[in-house]
Amino acid sequence: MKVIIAVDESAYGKKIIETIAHRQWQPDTAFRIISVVEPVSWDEVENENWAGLSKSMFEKRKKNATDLCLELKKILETQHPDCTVHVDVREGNPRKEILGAAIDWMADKILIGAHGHDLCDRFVWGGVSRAVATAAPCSVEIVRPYTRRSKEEHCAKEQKNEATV
Amino acid sequence: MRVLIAVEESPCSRQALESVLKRHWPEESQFRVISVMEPMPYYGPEIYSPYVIDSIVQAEGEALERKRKLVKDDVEMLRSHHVSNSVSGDVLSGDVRKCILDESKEWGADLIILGSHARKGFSKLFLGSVAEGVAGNANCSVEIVKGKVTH
Repeated sequence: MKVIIAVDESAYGKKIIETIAHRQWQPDTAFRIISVVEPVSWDEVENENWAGLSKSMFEKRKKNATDLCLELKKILETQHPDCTVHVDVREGNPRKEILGAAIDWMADKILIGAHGHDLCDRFVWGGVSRAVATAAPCSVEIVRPYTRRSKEEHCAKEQKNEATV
Repeated sequence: MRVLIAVEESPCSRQALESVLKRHWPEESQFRVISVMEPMPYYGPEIYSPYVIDSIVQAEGEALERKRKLVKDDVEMLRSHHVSNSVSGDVLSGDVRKCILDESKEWGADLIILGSHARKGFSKLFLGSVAEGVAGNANCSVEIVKGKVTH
């Protein structure tokens, strides 16, 4: 079974991997952790100083994404030593790159975070995960980590308590 | 892990169930199979003849019976594949999206699994309304199992 795990540079990706690692997977499962860093359009940046700064920021983001993916790879390999884990850091449009990877690699499943950083807010289904779920040629799981759900429930309970007080 | 599986008679829904049967699940996993019966539209007795009302009631009863049998068969199939796991099932009545979301909250599901048609061409831009409604509003993970490509 070929499984793509799409994460971004945020710490949310780590929670997603921890949720996935907690599950049981067949020993022949091959994971591919994909992180896509969207580049800034350099042509629009006229000032050379700003262009240099933007480029260095992009390189830093790419490095962060690579470091995070390697960290996530370790977590998965520790939990599932019989499975293979690949890391794939790309530049470009996230939805196009994730869908392209799913087609090229003939993935059986894509796991992608639903994306909602503000834990107390009503959940917003992110544009990338929505587009991937709609256009993917294979099954897609919108992953919501346990910690997030329990925090939502905690927030809802607190709001309820405040309302009764 | 608590897994809620929303089923119907369609081939893509059957594929979703098959994908659950094929997988390895932790021993403590619990499964709940649900099927939702949407009430038939009813416009009041004045526009129907008694014969039509009887037919509607009869058709609703038959549809409900089919759903019950479907859920019963799926529950038995899951029990035979995952003997050590707890499996339950129910037929709910109302709006499909709302029923699935309410049940997932009440039961405390960690994962909702449902089927959706894989699409091509222009229709590829749209996900089924139930899949989209559930995936966008659930407070747990949602897996959309894609069936065969439809045009």
